[in-house]
Amino acid sequence: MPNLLNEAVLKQVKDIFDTQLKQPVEVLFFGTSSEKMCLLLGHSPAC
Amino acid sequence: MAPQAKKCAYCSDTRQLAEEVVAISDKLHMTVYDIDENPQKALNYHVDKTPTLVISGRGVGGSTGDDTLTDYGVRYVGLPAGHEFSSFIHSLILVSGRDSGLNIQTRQFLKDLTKPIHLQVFITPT
Repeated sequence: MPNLLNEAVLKQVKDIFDTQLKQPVEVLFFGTSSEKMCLLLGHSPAC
Repeated sequence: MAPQAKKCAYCSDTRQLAEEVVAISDKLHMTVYDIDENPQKALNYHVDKTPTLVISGRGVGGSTGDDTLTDYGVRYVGLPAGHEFSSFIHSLILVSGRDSGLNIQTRQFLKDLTKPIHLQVFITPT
């Protein structure tokens, strides 16, 4: 599966993180198998 | 997860994007939840839409029942793409610093609020 982020963006973000990230962060991803609860940011609520 | 991801059109992309970002630094970690399989976890974090990314501090102490996580109320609902990507990165940095960067006057103003306020930011990619 190809990356969503290209190499230039990855490098830029890495440079930012290397200098600015301090303490650990946890990202919790919540997904679903239910169509009725799917929301598209910036688009209509229909999936 | 693949068959289920098709029913939530942006779940797969959001998960992949978050995974790619988290992989950049060893200070970032990610946990994946299906709200149908983990309804209590979703309830704990007040998540009722998907995809949702919750950005929390790790190792600070629990506010949601997780022993090592602190929830600062930062949520991304949908895919943080376009201009929202930089906001997503900035949110990670803010939570990592455990400080909002707000000045004293603003903090005092917020501290004096007497009623709950629910902020929602709506964007469009175009």
